[in-house]
Amino acid sequence: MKLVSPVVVCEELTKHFGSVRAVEGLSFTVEAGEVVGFLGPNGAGKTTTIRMLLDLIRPTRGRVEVLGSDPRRGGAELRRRIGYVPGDLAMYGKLNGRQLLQFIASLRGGTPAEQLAERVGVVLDRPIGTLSRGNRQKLAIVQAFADAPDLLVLDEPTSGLDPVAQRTFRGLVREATDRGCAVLLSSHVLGEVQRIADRVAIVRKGRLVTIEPMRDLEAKALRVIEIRFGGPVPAEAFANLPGIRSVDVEGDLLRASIAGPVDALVKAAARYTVDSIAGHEADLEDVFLAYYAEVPDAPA
Amino acid sequence: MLLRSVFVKTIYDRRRGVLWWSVGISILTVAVLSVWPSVRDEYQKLVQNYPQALLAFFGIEKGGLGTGAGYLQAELFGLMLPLTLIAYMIAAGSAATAGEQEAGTLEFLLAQPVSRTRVLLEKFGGLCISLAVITAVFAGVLVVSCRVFDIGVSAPHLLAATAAAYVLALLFGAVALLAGCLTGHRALAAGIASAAALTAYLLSSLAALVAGLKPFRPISPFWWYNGHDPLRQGLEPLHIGLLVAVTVVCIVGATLSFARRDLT
Repeated sequence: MKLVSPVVVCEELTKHFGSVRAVEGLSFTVEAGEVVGFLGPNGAGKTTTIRMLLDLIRPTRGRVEVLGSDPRRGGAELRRRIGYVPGDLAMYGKLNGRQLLQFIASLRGGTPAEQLAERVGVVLDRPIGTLSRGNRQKLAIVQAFADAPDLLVLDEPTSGLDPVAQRTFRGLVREATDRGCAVLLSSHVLGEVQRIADRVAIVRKGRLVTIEPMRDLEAKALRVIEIRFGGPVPAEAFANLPGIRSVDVEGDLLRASIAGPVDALVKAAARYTVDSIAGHEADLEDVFLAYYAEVPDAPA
Repeated sequence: MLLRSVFVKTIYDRRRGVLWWSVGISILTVAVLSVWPSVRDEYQKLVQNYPQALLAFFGIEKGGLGTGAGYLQAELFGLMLPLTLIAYMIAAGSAATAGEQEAGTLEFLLAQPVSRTRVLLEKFGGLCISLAVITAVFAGVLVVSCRVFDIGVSAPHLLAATAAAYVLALLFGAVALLAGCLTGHRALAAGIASAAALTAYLLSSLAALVAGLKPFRPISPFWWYNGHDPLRQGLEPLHIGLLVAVTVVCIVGATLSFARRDLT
């Protein structure tokens, strides 16, 4: 079946709960085969937006379109084509994993995803309520990916996952996008989306701050680089390099925060004996700080 | 058990509750009926000495004073049985959507390809079946006990009165479900439905004592349930029809409200 592109369209999407403006004039798209990271601090309106895509709540204003239909009109048939990992993992604690997958398969008209469950390493025979957060998360991922959806809506999908499971998860996302599936992946941690998102939408207080390719965003993000040298180095040698925001040298240890390419820093360091280099992932906080400086608070 | 639908899952989720409510109501029934042979003569004298108002309030004059039917009415069908079945259905009905919403599982369920109307109807259908199991166990125990302890009421009349109690409990289950869909809060829904049941009971009972209430008695579901004395007269189609009609109205209302509400 040919996919309608873009798969998700939000136009001036707005949701108020009484006097609370959860989402305000949000516009973005997700194309087929693309992963869009949906980033923002807790309470930014990410989950509210996601719930509107699934017709769990209805917009106050604006337009939302999923796979070419209004979620409300599309109803059950539309949701058959959407895989969903909910943010708060409440999933029938008294059932075991096998029962849950079988129940979901019945509702979706497919077969239980036991093969996928084995690949992800899900514990199937214990009551879900007794599983660790990571194991429940795996189960949520398996049921979402189970029958090759055209859209995956993932609300903080890797929280609690061990690194092996995270890698499996990234593999699953890649396979899904390879066959044209669109992915909206929400998170409050940049690291969670950094490796797989093609574009990133940043929301804050219910409004879209920016949506741009991951690469561009990374270029703006501050990164902390730690270099340990064979001996003491002079701080002045690193002070005026392009992109450097701050440098701190204590004996043989240099700590620099830098925006954009680290090329100049590495080349400057190469003049000395380098024992080790450690790079810390750009902190979302820093990305936000960069944006806060540019984007003033929209009038409420 | 293969959980092949919301309907089947609802029954599956209720299995333990059904077991314990069935056991409880069976023990209660046997206990109440087993004393009948030894109290038969005393009971007849006792109720004749009761003040008329008391007899009327508890509906003891129904079923015949001092007879086995009268005893059944006073000890079981007047309050105990409907109270038990209604309590079960209010608990189950308020948990069905509001309880799931509070537990957070409703969001997960409704994100699946199944319409809200269907979820609601299948859940109510599952509750009807689970209540039917409890009621059937009760009916079986009742019919056998009545024969063993020589109550002297025919099986068809026992079943008629039991069926009326079943439909009455369905109605208040539907009220609880409706209240749950409107409010989204389980305890509040259970409270609203319990208040409705109590009001209906008092209206029907007090109307026997208070002349001013008598004109309102025909609007009480409790009156539809046993105003026509089903233990001696069998089912009254109009009254059963009213119970079913109000149940259906509540379910339609619940469906409409459920389809519209935001799940947060």
